[in-house]
Amino acid sequence: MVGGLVAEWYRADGAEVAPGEPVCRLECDFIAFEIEAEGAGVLRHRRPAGSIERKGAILGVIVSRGEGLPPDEELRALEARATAAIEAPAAPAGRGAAALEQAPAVPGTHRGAAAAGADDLAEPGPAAVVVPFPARGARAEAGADGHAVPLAEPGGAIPGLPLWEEGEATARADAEAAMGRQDGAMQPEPASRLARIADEAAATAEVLSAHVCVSWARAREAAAALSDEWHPFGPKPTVEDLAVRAIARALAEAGLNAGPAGVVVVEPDADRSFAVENPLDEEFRRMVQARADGGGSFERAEWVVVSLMPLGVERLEPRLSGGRLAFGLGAGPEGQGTITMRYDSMLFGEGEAGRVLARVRSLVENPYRLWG
Amino acid sequence: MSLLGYAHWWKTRTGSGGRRSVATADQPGRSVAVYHLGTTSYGEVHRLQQRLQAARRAGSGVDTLLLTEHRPVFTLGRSHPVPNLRVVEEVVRQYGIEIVPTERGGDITYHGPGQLVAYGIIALKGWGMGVTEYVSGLEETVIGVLADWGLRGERSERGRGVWVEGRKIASVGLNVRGWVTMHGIALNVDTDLGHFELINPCGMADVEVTTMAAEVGRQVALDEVAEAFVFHFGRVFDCAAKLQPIPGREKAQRGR
Repeated sequence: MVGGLVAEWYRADGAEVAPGEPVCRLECDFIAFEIEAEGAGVLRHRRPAGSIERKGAILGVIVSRGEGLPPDEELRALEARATAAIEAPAAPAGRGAAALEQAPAVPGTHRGAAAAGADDLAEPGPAAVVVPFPARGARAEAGADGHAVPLAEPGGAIPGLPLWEEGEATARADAEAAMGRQDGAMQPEPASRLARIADEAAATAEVLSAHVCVSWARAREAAAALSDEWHPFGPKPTVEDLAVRAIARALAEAGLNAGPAGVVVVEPDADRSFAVENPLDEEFRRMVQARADGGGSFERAEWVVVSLMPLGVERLEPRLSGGRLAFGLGAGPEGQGTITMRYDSMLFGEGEAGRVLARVRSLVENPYRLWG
Repeated sequence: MSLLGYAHWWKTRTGSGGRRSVATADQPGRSVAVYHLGTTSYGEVHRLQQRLQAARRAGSGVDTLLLTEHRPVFTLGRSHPVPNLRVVEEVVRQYGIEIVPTERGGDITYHGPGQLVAYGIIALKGWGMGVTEYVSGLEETVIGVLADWGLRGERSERGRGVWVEGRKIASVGLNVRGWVTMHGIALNVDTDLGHFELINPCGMADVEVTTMAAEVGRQVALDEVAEAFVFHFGRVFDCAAKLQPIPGREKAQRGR
């Protein structure tokens, strides 16, 4: 670059300025340079705002009251001197100042040039120098062969499946309600009002769906890279593991206390339509339980992640489970895919759902953040 | 000693910064007070910078380097008052991200958790340095930091800042008034790049942004990067960069 932009005159042509007052802003490459008046007087613009000026140009002059701009030849001579001063090797310090300092030498009335332009902004930077730091270099070498520098312990396991028996919970709730009816005879009104509000909310609730596109290829790469840190001696993580963990984290960040999750990976030999249409009916549950082989009961899950990735289904809208939240993972061609979320509108609004999904995508594609 | 105990000793041993300190005896004039502010919101640090710059211009105060990590915010340069967004402003508001106008040069940028932001309030006259030289120094500082992690940062024809293989990793934005600088450089350490997708960073539509974590392929601790930044700042500008304690304010934890 050879110059800078006169971005804005803060003071109008002919305005009185005091020393130290900012009069003009130059811009060049993300740098805003504010020029201050060097002395008191009347500001005369020489170059308009919006013009691009080369190094050493005189943009304006501060003169005494009643005077106009000095003659142009005089200023040009000044500019030439300023440019020469900038280019002289003897001025390593305050190169920008060099041009400014020429100005007061003007004979006669003007007390100093307001601005000597796009001076040192115009210098090309020195060539890039990369100096590796020895200690880091050694560490990078150590880490090159495998993952010699272990990451911190992965934070917490995915919430486990068994939590409580639904029947027990409802029985307890019933018992509590009955108790409340007995000793709370004095204020039945608030309870009924709350019930009414809850009923109304439930009546207006609807099932919404949102989805986000993800790159499973990136996720797969990251999962492979992370596998040693994840389970040093255990099974290699799959993208489904990654997705479940990312979803759990995103829900927690959104302030939703997500309970146990159920994960269903539908393999090619399973009946595809069956899995999509009736994910939670008895037979399917038995099948999943058989798959899980005693690893916990699927029906206790509060939210469900259904993966049809092995089947190559691009987008999957799972049925809502009892837990009001279900996620579907679908994979299309070239490592692309979607994560779909079906949720109850009582859980959160559409905007928040979008935010949660965006966060899930970000975590799935960059799982390093899961431990950040 | 157990491995964990050893690790703790290694991290906390005296002189853990010993190899990082630089001899600056030949330049007694240059020194900078470094404050690591932790996680902050943009507005408070912005006001702090304005105060420090005003004090420095008035001839009091010391050269200061502020290191921090902001809560998500988009900032606008002085000459580009209209946000250069890729989405409608509604969406940004839905994300809960504020858009703040500032006095620095350049176009819109994003600051957020996982991004190391370094603001230098430096009287350039005192350092005998031009603005371009200072900006190049900031870039070189970041290039040095990247080299510590085995990354090759470089300057690009496409604009100021530091780039890694054509992807932008650090952005510069500066305001200079009375030869005192303000604002500085922002290095993406482990930033959520999703937020960058909402804007055209630096006004360029086709620029790809990256982070150290993404380039290195594992997580990078922001505190270590900050430490390295202070070291390289001292090395590049040949000044004594001394980390100052902040009374009454313990370093904020990364909110995760």
